[in-house]
Amino acid sequence: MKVGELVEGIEEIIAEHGDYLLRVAYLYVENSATAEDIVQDVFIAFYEKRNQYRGEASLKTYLVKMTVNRSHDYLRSWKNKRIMLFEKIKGRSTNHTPERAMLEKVEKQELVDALFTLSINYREVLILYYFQEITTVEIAKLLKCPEATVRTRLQRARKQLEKQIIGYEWGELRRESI
Amino acid sequence: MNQFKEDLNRELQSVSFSKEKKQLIATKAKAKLHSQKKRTNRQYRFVLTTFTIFAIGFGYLLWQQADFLNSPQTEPLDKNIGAIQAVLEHEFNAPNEEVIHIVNGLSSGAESGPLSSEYYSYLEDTYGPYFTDSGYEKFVATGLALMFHLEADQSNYRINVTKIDVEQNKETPTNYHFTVYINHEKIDGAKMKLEIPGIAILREGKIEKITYLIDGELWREMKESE
Repeated sequence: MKVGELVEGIEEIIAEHGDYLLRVAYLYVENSATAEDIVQDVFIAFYEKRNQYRGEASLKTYLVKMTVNRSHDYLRSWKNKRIMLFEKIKGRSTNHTPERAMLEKVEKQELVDALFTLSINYREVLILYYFQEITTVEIAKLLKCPEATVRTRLQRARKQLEKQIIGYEWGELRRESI
Repeated sequence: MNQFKEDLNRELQSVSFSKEKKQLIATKAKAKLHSQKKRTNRQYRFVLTTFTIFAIGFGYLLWQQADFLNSPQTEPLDKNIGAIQAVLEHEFNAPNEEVIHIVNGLSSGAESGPLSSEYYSYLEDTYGPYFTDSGYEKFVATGLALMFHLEADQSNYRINVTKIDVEQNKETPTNYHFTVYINHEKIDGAKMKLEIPGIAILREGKIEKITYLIDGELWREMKESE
């Protein structure tokens, strides 16, 4: 999609990438309402500064980076820390909403639940590497850390996940292997 | 698609936006952009207006300053010269019929009557604005006022000013040297050009003293027609 078309095409962009970005954000923040807010902010910010998008990366990658950055912002925010503290004190997660309970009944969320047991550092590399399918080099750039760190986290994340889901089949990534 | 991604997409199928929510986000994005444009326009107008006001204000201050710097030199000087020129033009465009009429009234013995008041009013109106109080008193008391009108009338000639040069004395700035260039026309039609030099002393834009440097020869030339 050309930059010039973006002004008229915000609805199409949201239709095409909205759900995917929402899932990325959800995997970061573990809360669908917060994830919706984050993705909404991403689209509004993108539409405001759409001229800054030079088309160097695919639009999807560009939007994912914005989503990841905003998710980081949220996780670092006092609001999130307050909520986490509240959860610790109360001994339950605010993520256990009636909506979530219903979803759990309808769908088996074995992998998602397993992911949420991982720390954000490990969960993140799995999301970016397997779900977003970007290379470890790109992940390193995005997270502003050495590629070796990304690879190490990826290995540990896989091991930790495999403890949660024994015998998990990762499938093949055509581009590279870790 | 790798297995991990496939599994996640399947498990997160329910994590999606409704159509209404997507539309709402698009509307919000557009609305925010619109309001941002309006805000940008307002900011632009505000900056432009502020700049214009400052530019006008700055220009006005510069103008005021230039005026202030120039005024001590030019304005009083012009006012002094203006006073001298006004008096000389009146004195050397003679005789003035009104003056003669008023003075003739005095001669008929009405010094304290209505004609007398007309005379003093005329003097006051004619010279008052250009002389200091003491300068006016001296000018009138010594008979310099209207002198050339009376002389021209009695000696049957007419004089009129062609040019007046006024120059400030550099050593004594209150003193002004002047030269009145006049055409002198006798009753028999003989014409000549004369130059009347003089000095005026000024105080704050008004004449304190005026002196005509007329020697005997010049005076004789003026009165030759008698």
